[in-house]
Amino acid sequence: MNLLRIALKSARFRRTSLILTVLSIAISVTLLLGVDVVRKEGKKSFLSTISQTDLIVGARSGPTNLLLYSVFHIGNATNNVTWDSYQTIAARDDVAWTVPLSLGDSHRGFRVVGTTPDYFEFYGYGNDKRLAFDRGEPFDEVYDTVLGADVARELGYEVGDEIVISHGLVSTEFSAHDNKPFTVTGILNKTSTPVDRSVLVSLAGIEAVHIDWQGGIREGLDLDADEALQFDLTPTSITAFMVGLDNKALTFRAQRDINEFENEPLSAILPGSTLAEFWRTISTVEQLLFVLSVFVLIAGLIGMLTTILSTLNERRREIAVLRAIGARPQSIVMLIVLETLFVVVMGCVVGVALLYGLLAFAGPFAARRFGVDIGLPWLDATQGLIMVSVIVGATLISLIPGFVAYRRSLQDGLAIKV
Amino acid sequence: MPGSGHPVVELDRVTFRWPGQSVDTVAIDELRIHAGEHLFVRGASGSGKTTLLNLLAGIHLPTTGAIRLLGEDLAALSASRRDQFRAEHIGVIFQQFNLLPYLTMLENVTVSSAFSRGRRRDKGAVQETARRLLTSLNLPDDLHASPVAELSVGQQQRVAVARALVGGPEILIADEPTSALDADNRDRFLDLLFREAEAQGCTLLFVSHDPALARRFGRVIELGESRELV
Amino acid sequence: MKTPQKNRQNTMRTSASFLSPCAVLLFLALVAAACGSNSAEFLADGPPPSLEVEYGASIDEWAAAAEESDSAEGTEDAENESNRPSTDPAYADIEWDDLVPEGFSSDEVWSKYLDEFDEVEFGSPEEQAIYDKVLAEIDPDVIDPALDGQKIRMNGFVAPLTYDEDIVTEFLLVPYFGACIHVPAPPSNQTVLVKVDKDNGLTTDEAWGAVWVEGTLAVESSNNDIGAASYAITGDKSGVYEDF
Repeated sequence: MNLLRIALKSARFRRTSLILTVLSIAISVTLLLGVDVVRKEGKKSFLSTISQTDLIVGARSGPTNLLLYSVFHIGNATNNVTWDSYQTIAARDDVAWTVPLSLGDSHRGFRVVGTTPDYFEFYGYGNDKRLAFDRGEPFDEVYDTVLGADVARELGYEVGDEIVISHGLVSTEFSAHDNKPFTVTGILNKTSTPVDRSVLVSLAGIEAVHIDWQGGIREGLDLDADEALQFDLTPTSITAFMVGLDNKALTFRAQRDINEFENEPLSAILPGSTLAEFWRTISTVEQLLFVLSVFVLIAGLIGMLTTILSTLNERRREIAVLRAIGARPQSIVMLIVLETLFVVVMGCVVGVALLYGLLAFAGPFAARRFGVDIGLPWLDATQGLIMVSVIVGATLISLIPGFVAYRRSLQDGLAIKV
Repeated sequence: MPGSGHPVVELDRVTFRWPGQSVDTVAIDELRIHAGEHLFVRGASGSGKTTLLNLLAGIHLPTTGAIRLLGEDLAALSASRRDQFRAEHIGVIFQQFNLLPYLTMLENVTVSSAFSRGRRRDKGAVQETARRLLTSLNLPDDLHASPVAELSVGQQQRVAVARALVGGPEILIADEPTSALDADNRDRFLDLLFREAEAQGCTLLFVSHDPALARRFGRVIELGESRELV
Repeated sequence: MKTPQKNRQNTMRTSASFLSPCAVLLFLALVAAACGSNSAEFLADGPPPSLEVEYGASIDEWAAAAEESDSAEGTEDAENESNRPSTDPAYADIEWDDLVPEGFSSDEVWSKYLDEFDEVEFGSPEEQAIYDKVLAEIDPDVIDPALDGQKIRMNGFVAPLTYDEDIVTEFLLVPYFGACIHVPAPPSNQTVLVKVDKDNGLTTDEAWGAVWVEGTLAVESSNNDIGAASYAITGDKSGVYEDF
């Protein structure tokens, strides 16, 4: 029988009221750690969305907007890039490769990307990773399609299945190109980038389905799939295109040339720089969230303090008994501190469990909505430090009721004034 | 034998006055208690008997005068040494709420070993003594693991006796231990208390406001005037 | 005979004995916080110090502005000791001008034509003709092959290209702030491609300000016949430029 065991038994005895304190500490811990985890993992995932691409070009637009719609499929372009302009720029001496992108359609909530088979060769992400096929192969015919990993998994598609794409971002019956179904020829490996949630088709395929569409609605012609193939399916415009240069040292010159392109207002961005810029605008929000979490913690600790102080009155008798059997006033303080320590440690444990539960449960939704994959990372040194600070902070606060108990134990002695 | 040897408790010109008060709460010119004596201390509420208990237990130091327990001058000891002294040599029984509600009956008896260095080392012996005491106080084995809330007042008071005695203290202080008991239980309790105190050779200081109990004690003092009543 | 003072002393001693464990705990907490703040980057992320620097400012202007604000604050960031470039004699300091071979720097070209400028009227078409000649001669692509294989140390600003998790491992080093976003673009002999491994890379925060790089300079020939060669550095180490 020592002081620690007494403290534990005392805490257990009072567990109904302490459980609420444990919960409030747990929530603060989850918030504090959660903000830090999401921030760090979100950043890593975000920055690795695209790499090995020197420029992304689209109609004139803010750099963040261009990045978001072309790579993350968030938002929309305000204008398109004419096919001529694209060809002119692609023919430049300093350009090694280009990959055109045509956006605007969707399939059951997933974005459709019109592109060329070069996409599979040149799209890079993370640490020089490339797209690979889990099953099947790239599209070849006009009505072939390749699915990202999540599309195939969530909708249960296999190679050979037929799908129908819709005009716009929402799939409805009247916006569907239902007379021109596409056949799945390949399914990509998981990349943890927005590619997973993409449906990839050829540019010709995009042209084909829009042949009888003008102004967003189907016009009288109503051609079927084969009839559409009779037409010239060269696009007149695309949404954006990715550029790889021969020599990266020429990046800025190429960017300037494209920005000053006479025939059409265009914007060229360096994806690496724009990713970092965009993340910086978020960082103010991150810091704000962290500060808010600290306030939540303070509120939780004050609540804990109130609970302990209010129970001190009931415990005067108990303290007198302890004094009678030889407990020193410091032991009384230690008792309060140890009980609090126990509560706070439990709070941290529950908080961490809650955090991982949330990450496991809500992580996929975040991946879907924002294109960032957080996963279930181990806690790092900073997060460990956060928990230690919480524990130390709570322990220090417990010295306040500890001191009150100490003084009372000195004054009361063996008597109770209940 | 009562009355022989050095006094176990000595008070010399002891007064105690709370700071800011104009009157002494306790004023005892001389008090000598010898080993094995059973002393009844009578005093009405407010007569300072609680303060006297605090002084005798070493919780407070007298404003003037000296208190010696087992030859030790309490004022010469630091506060923590006094607490240690109390853990080793004094057993205390209160009127009620003697027990820690979150410990079982047996744990309530053995808990004092947490604060006494000597007893901490010998956990096994403490457990044995505790069980033996409880059993001889009519608290059989099967009750030892019960939570305290399930016990009657009489049972709780007897557990308090066991706890006070488990460390083998020389001095036993009881503060109105029978006030919460009915007449039958009171007599039975006193029987047990005396028996166990004698078995260990304790000096018993019994404080109460009820004069009817005084007849069972060898010596009576009246508080308020520090005169002795026979 | 006990005196009241002695008893009061005892009470004071007991209060002090309460304070000592408190003091120890408080001290430990402060130590922990102090140690933690060195590694806790969760509050360190944020915009670079606000200096009065305009886009297009050179390293010297940046340095001057930083010195001003530093002397105003009176701070010296001892934390970044580890980020100071090593005084490793194996790495030679080079300036941006050194990347342009002799005779080709814009200063040199301009100075050749100064006399001609004196002879024509300000704003006249003759002046424009000389101006065009100067611009044509300043060849932004000319590189100095003698620098190939040199171990050098240089400073500049960063346009990140590739990340490994959240560390910049490949970037373009340019002479002035804001080149990444705005025109005018630096010429290709003033744009150096730097590759560095993750352990020696830069965080996104470090990449916002001036940095230094130590490594081996190489002259890379271009992939096609028409394009010019350019500089690249295989970086051994990189960090925030603090040596003002």
